Amino acid sequence: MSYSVQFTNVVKKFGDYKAVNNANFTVNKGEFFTLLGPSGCGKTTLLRMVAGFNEIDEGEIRFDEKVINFTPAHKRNIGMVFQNYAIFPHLSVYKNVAYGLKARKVPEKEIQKRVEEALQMVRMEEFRDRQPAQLSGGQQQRIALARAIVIHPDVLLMDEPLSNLDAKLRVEMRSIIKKLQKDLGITTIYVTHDQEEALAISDRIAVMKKGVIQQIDVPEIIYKKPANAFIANFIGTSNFIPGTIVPMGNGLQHQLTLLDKWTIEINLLKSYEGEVMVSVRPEQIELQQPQKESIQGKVILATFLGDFINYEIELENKQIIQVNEYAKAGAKLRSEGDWVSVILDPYKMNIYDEKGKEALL
Amino acid sequence: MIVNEKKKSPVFHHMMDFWNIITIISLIILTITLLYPFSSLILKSFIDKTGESFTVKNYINFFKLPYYFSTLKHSLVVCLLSTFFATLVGLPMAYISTRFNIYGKKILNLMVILSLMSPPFIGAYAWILMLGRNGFLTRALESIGLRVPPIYGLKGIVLVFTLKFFPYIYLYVSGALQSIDSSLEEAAENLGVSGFKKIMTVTFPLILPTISAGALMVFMTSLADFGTPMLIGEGYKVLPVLVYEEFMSEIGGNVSMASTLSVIIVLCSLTVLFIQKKIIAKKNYTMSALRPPKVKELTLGKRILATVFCFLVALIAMSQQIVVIVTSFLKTSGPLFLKEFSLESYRLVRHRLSHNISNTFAFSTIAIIIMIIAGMLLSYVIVRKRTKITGILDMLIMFPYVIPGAVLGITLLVAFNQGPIILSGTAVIMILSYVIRKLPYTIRSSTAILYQIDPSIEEASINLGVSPMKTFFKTTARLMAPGIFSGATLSWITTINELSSSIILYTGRTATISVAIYTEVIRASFGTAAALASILTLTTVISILIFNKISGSQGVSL
Ligand SMILES: Nc1ncnc2c1ncn2[C@@H]1O[C@H](COP(=O)(O)OP(=O)(O)OP(=O)(O)O)[C@@H](O)[C@H]1O
Ligand SMILES: [Mg+2]
Repeated sequence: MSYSVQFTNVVKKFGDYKAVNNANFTVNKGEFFTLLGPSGCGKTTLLRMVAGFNEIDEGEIRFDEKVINFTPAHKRNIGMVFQNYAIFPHLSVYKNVAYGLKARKVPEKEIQKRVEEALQMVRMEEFRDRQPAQLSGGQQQRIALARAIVIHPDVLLMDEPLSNLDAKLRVEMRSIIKKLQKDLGITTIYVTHDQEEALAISDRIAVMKKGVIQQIDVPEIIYKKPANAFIANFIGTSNFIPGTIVPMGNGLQHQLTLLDKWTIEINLLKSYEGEVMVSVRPEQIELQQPQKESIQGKVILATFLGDFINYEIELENKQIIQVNEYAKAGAKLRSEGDWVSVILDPYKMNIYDEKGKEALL
Repeated sequence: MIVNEKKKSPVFHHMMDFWNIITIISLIILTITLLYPFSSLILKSFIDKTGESFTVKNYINFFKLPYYFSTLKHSLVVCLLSTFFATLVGLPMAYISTRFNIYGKKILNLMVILSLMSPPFIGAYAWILMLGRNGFLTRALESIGLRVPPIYGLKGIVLVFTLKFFPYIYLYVSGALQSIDSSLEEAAENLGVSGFKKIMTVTFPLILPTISAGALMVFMTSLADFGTPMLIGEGYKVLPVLVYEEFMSEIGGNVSMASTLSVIIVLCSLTVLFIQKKIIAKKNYTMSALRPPKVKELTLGKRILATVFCFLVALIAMSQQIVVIVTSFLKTSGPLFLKEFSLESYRLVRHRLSHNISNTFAFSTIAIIIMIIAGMLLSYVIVRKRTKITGILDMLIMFPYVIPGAVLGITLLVAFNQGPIILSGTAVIMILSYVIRKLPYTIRSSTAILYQIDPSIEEASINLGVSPMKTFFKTTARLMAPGIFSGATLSWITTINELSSSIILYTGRTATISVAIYTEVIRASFGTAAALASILTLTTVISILIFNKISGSQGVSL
């Protein structure tokens, strides 16, 4: 049985600093929801408020209709996977997983069955009698996961569960977690500061900065339509090129000029005049032979990365941008010092106001 | 920055209530048993001999009259010299035993701990048996034409203190040397710095804070010890001896002067502690060796030489105990030992002094149970519920670390032999002084281990549905056990050997083994004193061995 989790005007203060500032959103039943943001933005704090380890200073958290603000942590029936696993070092793998069931006074027979099941799900059944000290990081991590799901929690919380694993294991565990979550249909709140992981694993992502939630959406939109320059910069790589917007008439039609050279007409979300930041992903820029009436640049570094080639291009204003070009068969590597034209597609870029706070496109 | 959770929601009520209650109860108990007595002491030090009017005359007299003031100078000289020599002995020994493959390290460790934990007072007496005016070593040396000056006075005190307290340096520094990651010293070698220069530029600075902590212990315990200087000081009177005499003097002790002197000793200790904490320990490098330093293989000759050096020092330090044990099995005639073995001393102990033995074990057992429970709960409060108030609690608990036993005894007696609570002459006051004075050992090692237990382990348990209270007893306490155990072992050993506050607080009914050792020596009944001391030593050895067996480590950590 799974619940939706609703946050209403949730605030957490440490002294005067609001580590979580007015969070308002709902995690749907059975959803895989990720809190993403740079270090210190308040992800853990928010998660721990759900778990009951940080009290809720203002606002309410509800499981379905029920306000849980005042439910003690040990009565919330939440599964939690800690960043450092928090495996009980004095208990065997089996006893670690059985711990929560014992606390619930589940009959011994059923405990055995459910522990076996949980260990199977994380593919750790042959380790049941090991001591935690004899397990690798990845194995401990899976025990932590088994221990959290074996109690059939209403909500599953995970705080950077993969951050201590090496890259390969991280990807492997990622799919184990995702499959498990879908199979069990547990509402899950997942915390990470790794944007790639967030994009890969989540149904929806909330991007946080300094305690404030910046944008909540599905991974694709978060990536393609970041709500502000901070997100555009934090998720993936973005090039920010300064430009100028001049309104054409009274409507939403505007003219955008980049580097005094390249001008297009464009429909904005609202009327605007002045400096803007144009953000483009490296793979959405096209390079062509130099031609007039376009932005030009010089290749200063070419890096072969297998699937594609990464170029650092110095524009005429001395700004250096990143461009990824697919390594098509037969295409030759551009050399350092080559001049190229930098072609932008108006449908594949984002425009933000001068401070990068608001999306105009 | 750690900001406290405001206690608003019931989520935290249950837990906060329990720990708040613990904090409040402890504060109340400490106020009654420590703050109140200490204030009484300070008050007393400002009251004149007649007990009526307020005066600073005691303090003026102390600094004006050489009879008093010289003892302070003597104490400082003794402490400085002892600390210096103890470091001189302990440091190289620690280095050799941790860095080279000498033989019998475990035994060496045990010997060193034993010489530190030897029963009080009798050790000094054993030295008189060896190197006194009529000592057997003195005479033996004389017979081969070597005239050594007898052990009395400053040099004797320094010799005994050095040998008794160098283990602090040895044990502290060995620990630190083992926790320097080998890559640090390798880096130095890689940069072309090796040998002695490497030690001076890398190793030494890294362990300096630890050396200073060990030196502090030597200094403090030398300042507090009064059994040794009393027996062999003769004309060279130190501060604690003066305190004792002023307090216990047959011809109407001068309690207010004794109080004044007590306050002065505590001020001295605090000053030294302050200097160590502020100046030296500030540069504390937290180290934990990922790769412990390599133990260097010596050639056979050098290996034997290094082993001999270490064991020679340990043996000299232990010689007093050996003398005590041997003499405990000698037949006696009055104060003299005859060259004939017998169990007479033990028989006498059984007849006359068995209640001292049962007292020691009864009091120490009760004290250690209280210390274990208090240690467990209070260290949790101090580490996990950090607030200004628990900070004060921490300070109060640690304060007795710097109070010499005799001073604590006087403090408790001054407070509790009149006024609202009368405890003088009871077992309660003895146990109280043990708990107050030895609790810091248990607390220190319990807090140390608690710092290493990740709080998320507790949260995981709560999260899995076990209430915070149950989590504490089921999981946290279980994980803390090794630390509590190691601290409690140390508290236990030092409690059974405790003399300096017992001597002030005991009455005929509550006398302990160490008190009996003292009184028997004074009565010149050396055989029984030696037998009692041997019983204590044996208990200490057994305690350490049990501890090693259970914990699998090599010796209690200080
Ligand atoms: N107990 C506390 N007392 C005071 N400030 C705190 C406390 N816990 C967290 N903070 C502050 O609240 C802010 C958010 O912390 P939080 O741990 O939630 O960050 P995070 O997003 O999880 O970061 P990371 O990715 O590094 O884990 C930080 O500025 C942190 O310093
Ligand atoms: Mg965090």
